[in-house]
Amino acid sequence: MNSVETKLSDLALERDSLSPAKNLLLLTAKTLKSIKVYPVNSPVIKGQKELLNKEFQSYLATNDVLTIKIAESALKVDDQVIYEGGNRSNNLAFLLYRDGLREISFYEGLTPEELNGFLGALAENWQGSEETDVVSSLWERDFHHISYVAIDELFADLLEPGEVDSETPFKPSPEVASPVSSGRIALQEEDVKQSSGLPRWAGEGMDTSLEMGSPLLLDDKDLRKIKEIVEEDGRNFNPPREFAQALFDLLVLEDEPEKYTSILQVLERFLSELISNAEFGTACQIFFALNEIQDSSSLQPAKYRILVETVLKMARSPESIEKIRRLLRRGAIGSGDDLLKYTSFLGASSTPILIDLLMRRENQEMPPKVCDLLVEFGRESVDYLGEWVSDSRTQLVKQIVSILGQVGGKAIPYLERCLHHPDTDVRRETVRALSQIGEIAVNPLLSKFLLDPNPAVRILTAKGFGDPDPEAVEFVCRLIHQKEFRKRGIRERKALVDILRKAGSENAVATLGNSLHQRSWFRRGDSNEFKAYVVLALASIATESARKTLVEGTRMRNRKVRNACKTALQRVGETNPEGEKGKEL
Amino acid sequence: MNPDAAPDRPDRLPTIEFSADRKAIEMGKKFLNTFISSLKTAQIYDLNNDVFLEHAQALDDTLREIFRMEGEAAVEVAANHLFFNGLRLPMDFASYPAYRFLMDGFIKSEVGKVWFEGNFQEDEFKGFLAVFAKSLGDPSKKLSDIENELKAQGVVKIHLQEPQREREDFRKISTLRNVGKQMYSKSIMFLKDMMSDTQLPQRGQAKVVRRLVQTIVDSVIDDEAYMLALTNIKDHYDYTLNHSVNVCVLSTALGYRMGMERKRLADLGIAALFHDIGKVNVPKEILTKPDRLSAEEYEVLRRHPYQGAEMLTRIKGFSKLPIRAIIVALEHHMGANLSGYPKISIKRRINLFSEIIAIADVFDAMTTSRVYRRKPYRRNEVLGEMMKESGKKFDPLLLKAFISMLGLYPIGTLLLLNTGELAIVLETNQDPAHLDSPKVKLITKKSGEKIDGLIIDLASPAGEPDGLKRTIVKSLDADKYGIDVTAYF
Repeated sequence: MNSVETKLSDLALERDSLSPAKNLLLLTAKTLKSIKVYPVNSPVIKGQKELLNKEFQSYLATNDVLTIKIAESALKVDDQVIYEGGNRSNNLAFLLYRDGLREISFYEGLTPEELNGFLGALAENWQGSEETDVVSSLWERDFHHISYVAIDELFADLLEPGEVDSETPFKPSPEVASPVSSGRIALQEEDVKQSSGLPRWAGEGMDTSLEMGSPLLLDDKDLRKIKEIVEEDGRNFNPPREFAQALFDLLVLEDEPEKYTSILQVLERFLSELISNAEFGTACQIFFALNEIQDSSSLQPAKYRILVETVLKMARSPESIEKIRRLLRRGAIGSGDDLLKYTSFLGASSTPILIDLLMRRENQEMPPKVCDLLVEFGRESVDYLGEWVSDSRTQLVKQIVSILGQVGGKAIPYLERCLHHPDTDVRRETVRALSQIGEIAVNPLLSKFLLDPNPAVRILTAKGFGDPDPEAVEFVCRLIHQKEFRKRGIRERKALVDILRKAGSENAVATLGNSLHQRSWFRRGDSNEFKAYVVLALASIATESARKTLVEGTRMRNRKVRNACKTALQRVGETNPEGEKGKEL
Repeated sequence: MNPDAAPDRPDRLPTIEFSADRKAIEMGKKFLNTFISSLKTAQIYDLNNDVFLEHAQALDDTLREIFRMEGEAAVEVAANHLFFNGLRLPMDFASYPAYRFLMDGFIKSEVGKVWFEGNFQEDEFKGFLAVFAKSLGDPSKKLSDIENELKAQGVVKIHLQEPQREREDFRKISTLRNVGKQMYSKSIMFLKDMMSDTQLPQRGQAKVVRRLVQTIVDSVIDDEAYMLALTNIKDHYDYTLNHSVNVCVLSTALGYRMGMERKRLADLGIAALFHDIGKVNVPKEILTKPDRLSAEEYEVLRRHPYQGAEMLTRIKGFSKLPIRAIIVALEHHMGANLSGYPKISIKRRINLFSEIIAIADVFDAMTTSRVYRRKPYRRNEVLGEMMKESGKKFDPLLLKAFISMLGLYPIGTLLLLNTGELAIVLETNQDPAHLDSPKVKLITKKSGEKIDGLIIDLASPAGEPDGLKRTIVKSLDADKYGIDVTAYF
């Protein structure tokens, strides 16, 4: 093997030895992309994290440490580029480089939690923010098996190196306890005179001993107490609650308008900032805290009301709502779970936000929760909600229609707009919505849906009549009398018979009776089946006129109808000897 | 874009290595905890006892982890500190008793250092623990006796060394101190920049604040004494800015001693940095008025907590800063017994951060000369004054902890010694029984001639190499003698 071949072979070996690191970095970038795209609980993310952890463990078991040098668009191990990204928005190297990271090392012993924390730090800074950065996020996580080198680029415009001595208000000395200039210090007389006795720091009568039990010494009990205080502070401290409590405490006491206004302004400003920064979790905690304070305090109800009203007024203002919608449009809001909780405090004002959330497809669990809230607020915001039935997005319109159905009668005028909607699913959903409303007021619109071009919609409509009123029955009777009716499918015809059965009125019985006499030359089987169903309907109605119609039926030429009527009469007689309208056959 | 370009570009800015030393410190603390508990169990139980074996196993596991990361493990006692692999380990209040046990044992046995090589055998390890634990409890056994016993037990991979008198080669100490100094200065400049023009903090500043405070926290953890020394820096012209940074350092140092984790320390530091931000809106004539304030003027001053809280909510990206900063801005003058301002009627405990910062705030304010108080209190005098307010303005336990941290003669105090020499307090004695006996640097002879003198531990029972046993006569006003105490750090 000549020298060139040897070098090439060495190079190949070197590349081979770097390929596991290269794979690790690619897998890291891939996992980060998944975190960005999929919902938090996605099994895709979980799977990739597990795989990444496995790969890291395997690498570190062999190599002890993975040290990566970070350049603007590339990552290097042992001076070899092992990762090179494309554009900045998707470049792992740039994400790390941007905030000043120049080197990062992973050590053997790296735990899955640490790896997860590392990914979390990167994910939360992926977009680039003026409020956080990767270095801070890594620092806060306090890793044991990840170390890094960062430059202070953030502070560059504050002070240049070398300027420290001249610009700073002191002259730092380079060495520990370095010498000072020569000279002499002569003590002033007053200092020479005052000599021993109590140390100067001690107050009169104060115990200055440093024996056990001295008020100056921390004993074991004190140490335990300090530990408890720190632990309790970490465990129980709820910043928004304390914040709200502090403001409320101040508000209770302040009567001067200026201070009073100041306090409210602090709260208003704070919430406004939270909204601007999409910190809805914290905003919710403020609302929770206000509720808690209200429950636990009977003081100054008038002032408390002003506090709450101020918060709500600000939060419900069109400006605040629009601000949130802009954040949503910019994709600046993560999973939306916190926002959803937040909207529950806003009431109907949040309807525009909820509709925006409904349109998001990222979180599959979201729509049902959003729909529940829209239903809850729907009665107050039905006019706004109803306008959305004219939207071009079928899926959205279907969801809005479904919500309107749960809102109730106020929604009927908007549901009517869907009568001629080009999408069958929307019309079908509208019928369901109308059925859900269940009031008599929906019947005229349901009757119109009985003329829908799609049989499935018509069947659903027929089945959706809850309590058919005389107009609706009249409409159905007219339909059944029409020649076209006989061309309709058996299921639809049966469904219409059911409407008449539910009505049980005289004109319903008359229409059913007439239908027993209709002749059909085609689809005789269908015709018999339909007539048998009519017989059952009459038996179910079981009024005098219905019985009479059945008796007439026993004299018909059609044997099947005849027999059916006989059987029906026997059973009516058995189950309803008094001849009352009653149970189904 | 050339991927090679960036790393080759010389970064003019200082680089800071995060985590690596701190990781070693954490590892050292873990090692010491397991080492001390193993020694204590070995003093009580025999080598086959399950309790002992459990502790020994934990120590062995820790050592294996250290060997993987550091190659060796050494614990050393020098200059009243514990060092792990050359890094000085910080002592919080909670760890002090255990560390003291080990330090006392080392000193009595005249052992300076224990050094573990990798790949020792199990029997060797157990033998070492048994011999060393028993020896620590036996004042008659000295280094050479222990070494002989270890040899007899076949211990060859674990070594003992005699103490070193002077020990100042802290790993990377100059780098750390540079970072600390720079962060101190940058924090002041940043605050100045932030508040000078519009008085409205600008977008992106929240990120800078966070990074600044994180670095200050790291500096406090790495070299608490030095950072506390920096709080002697007083700028009478930019009092509020200088004061804010000092309060930040003092508060985070106390928080660290109390056992707070880094994230919380950073939150505490941010809250401390901004606790007085509301004063920006108070007219300078009031802040610098040499006479007593009128009722109206006092009322204006009393509004600064509200104004501070309101200003903090206006920092763009404020929500990324701790809400506690607002709470602290509102509460830092309330007092532990709520006797201060603003007044509240509901009896409740104010926030822990507010209590800590209130202590640091008063300490730093009283040690600074102001227009209305040309002669500041000496640092040790302030503690005495503050003790009078224990249970009123200040939480007694937290104040006690603060005094424990600073000592009765805080770092930077100018002292007159019984020898007639002047000295500057360099470091507080970690032993609570010696709170009044710090480590000092002699700066003059008895004659008053300035010298680059010895560093003396006043708690040392044996006195110093020159045979003198020095004690403190009193503290002096350094300003009066034109002494810039910060020059000695």
